[in-house]
Amino acid sequence: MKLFEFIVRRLLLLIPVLIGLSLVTFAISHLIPANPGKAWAGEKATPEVIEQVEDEYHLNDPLHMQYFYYMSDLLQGDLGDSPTTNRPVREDIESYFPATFELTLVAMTIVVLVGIPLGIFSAVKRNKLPDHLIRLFSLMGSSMPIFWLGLLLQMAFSFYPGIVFGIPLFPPKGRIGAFVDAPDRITGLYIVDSVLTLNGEALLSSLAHIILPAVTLSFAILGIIMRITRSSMLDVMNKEYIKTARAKGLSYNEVIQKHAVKNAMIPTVTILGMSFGGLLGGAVLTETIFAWPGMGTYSLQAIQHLDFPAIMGFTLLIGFVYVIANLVVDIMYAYLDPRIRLGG
Amino acid sequence: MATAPMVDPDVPIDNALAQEFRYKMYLFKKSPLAIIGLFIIITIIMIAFLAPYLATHDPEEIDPYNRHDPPSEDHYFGTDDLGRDIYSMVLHGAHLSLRIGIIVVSIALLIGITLGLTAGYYGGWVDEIIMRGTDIVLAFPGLILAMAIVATLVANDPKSDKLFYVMIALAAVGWPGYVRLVRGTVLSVKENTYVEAARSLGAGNGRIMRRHILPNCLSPIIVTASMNLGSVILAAAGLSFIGLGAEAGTAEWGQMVAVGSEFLVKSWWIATFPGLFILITVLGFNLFGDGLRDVLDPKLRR
Repeated sequence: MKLFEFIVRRLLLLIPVLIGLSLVTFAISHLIPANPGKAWAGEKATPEVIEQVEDEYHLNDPLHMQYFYYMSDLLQGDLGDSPTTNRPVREDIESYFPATFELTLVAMTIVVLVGIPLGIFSAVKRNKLPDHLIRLFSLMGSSMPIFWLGLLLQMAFSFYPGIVFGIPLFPPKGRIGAFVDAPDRITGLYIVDSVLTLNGEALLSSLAHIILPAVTLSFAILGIIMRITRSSMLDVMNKEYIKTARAKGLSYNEVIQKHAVKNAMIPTVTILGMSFGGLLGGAVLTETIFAWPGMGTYSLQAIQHLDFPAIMGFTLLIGFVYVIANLVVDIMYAYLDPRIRLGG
Repeated sequence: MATAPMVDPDVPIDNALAQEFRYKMYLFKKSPLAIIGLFIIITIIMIAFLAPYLATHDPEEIDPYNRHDPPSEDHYFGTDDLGRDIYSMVLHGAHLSLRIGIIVVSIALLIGITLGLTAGYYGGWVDEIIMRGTDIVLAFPGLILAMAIVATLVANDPKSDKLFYVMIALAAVGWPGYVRLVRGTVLSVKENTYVEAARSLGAGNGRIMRRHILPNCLSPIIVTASMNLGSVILAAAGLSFIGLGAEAGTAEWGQMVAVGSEFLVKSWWIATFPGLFILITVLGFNLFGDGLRDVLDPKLRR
C-alpha cells in the first residue's frame, strides 16, 4: 500500500506543476509580445483584421480573463487552430507526435544498449586504458553538436555511398520509402504497426530510415548516461556488501553481475528519465536534418511562420510529456529502492 | 573537512591557502585530460582575440570567382557558396561563440547564486516560492523552451539582433539549474560552526552569506559553470542552425553549418570545419570541468 500512497502523493504534486506549465506557455504567448494581435494577424494585416483577431482571442479582455478562456479551452482538449495548416493544433499534434515518439524510443534503446555496458566496463577497468578511452568518448558525446553529426552520417552513409556504389547504405531523409505504403495506423509507430500488420516491406523500409536519425539523436544523452553509469558503478563497488560478497567467495565477475550492476542501475534509470527532455530538444535538430515528419519539424515550421497556437501547443505538450516521464521515473525509483517511499 | 589534514596547522593562514592551492594545482597537473581541456580553451580564446591577424581573408568578403573552392593553400578550409573563406570565418566565429557562452553563463550565474543563496539561507516560504519557480522552468526541456522564447521575442521585435534574444532565452532557461545547485550546497555549508561563530560575533545576514557561505560553495559552482559554458555554446549553435540565431551570412559556427548542410555533396568542407570547431571548443570546456571536479571534490581523492 505504501507504493500506492506514494503514487497518489506524486500525482497530487503534479497539479501545481501543470498549472505552472500552462502559466509559462500563456505568458510566452500573451505577455511577451507587446501586441499579440498584430503578431498573430501578420505584419501586413489591416487594422480591421487585427481587431478581428483581437476579438477572436479575447485580447482586449483583462489578463486573468484571457487566462481563464485559455484554460477552459485547454481543459476541453482544445489547443486552438493553426493558421498555417488551417487545422486544429490538436489534430496536427496527433499526426506528428508518434513519429517523434518512435524516434526517441529507438534512440533511447541505442543509449541503453551502448551507453550502459560501456559505462560498466569503464568502471570495472577504472584508470586503465579502456577507462580513459571510454571517458574521452563519453565527453566527446556530450560535446557533439548533433546537427553536425547528423550531416556527417548523412554524407558517410547516404550521399557518398550513393555516388560510389550507386545506392545509399541508408536513406538520408524521410520516415519510409517513397514507393512504400505506410503501414495501417494502429499506434502510429511505423515499426510497431508494420509488425502488427505483418507488413514486411514497410518494416524493412522504416527500420532503414530510422537508423541514422536515431543514432544521431542518441548522442544527445549518450555521454551523460555513460558517465552516470560509470560513477554509480564505482560508488557501489566501494560498498561493504560488495566486499562481503567477495569475502564469502563469489567470483569477481559474479559480484559485478549479480550485486553491483543491479544497484548501480538506480541512478542511471533516473538520469535516463530526466534526459528524456534532452532527447525531445535534440529531436528538433535531428528531425530538421533527416526531414523526419515529427514534432521537431512541426515546431520549427510553426516558429518560422510565427504560428502561435501551434507554438503554444507543442511547448505545452512537450512540457507535459517531460513531466510525466519524470513522474514515471520517480515511481520506478520508489519501486526499485524501498528506502525512498518509506523514508519520505 | 576532508581537506583539513592537507593544511599544516602551524603554518599561517595565508601560507596554508597557498599550500592548498599548490596541492590542487599538483592534482590538476596529474590529470592529462584536464590539461588538454585547458590547452583547448586557451587556444580558442587566443584565436578569438587574434582572429583579425590569423585570418587570411576578410570573413565577409564575397568572391564570385572562387565559389565552392575545395581546401587549398590559398583557402585552408575552402570557400562557401559565396566564395567567402571558411578558415577566416571560422576564426572570427570563435569570438562570437565565446561571447555568447560567457554572457549567458554570467547572467544565469548571477540570478542562480542570488536566488540559491537566498533560498538556502533563509529557508521557509522564501525557499518554497523560489524552488517552485525553478520547478516550473525545469519542467520544460531547455532547448524547446528557449526556442519558444526566442521565437516570441523575435516576432515581437523583428528588426533587432536575434542573437541578443538567443542570449536572453538561454539565460532564462539556464538559471534554475544554478539555483538548485547553490541552494543544495548552502544547506550543507550553513550548518558549519564557523557560520555560527560569525553570527555570534555580530555579522549580519548579508555579510555571512557573502563572506562565509558563498566562498565555501564555489567549487561545485565553478565546475558546473565550466561545463555549462560548453553546453550553452552548443545550444546557441543549435538555435542558429535552425535559423533562430545569427543572421544569414554571419560568421557564426551554427549558421555556417546550416549553410553547409545545403551543399553536403558538392562542398563537404562548408559544414565540416565550423562543426569541428564547435565540437573541439565544447570538448575543451567539458574536459576542463571534468578534470576540475576531480580536483575540487575531496570525495574523489581516494
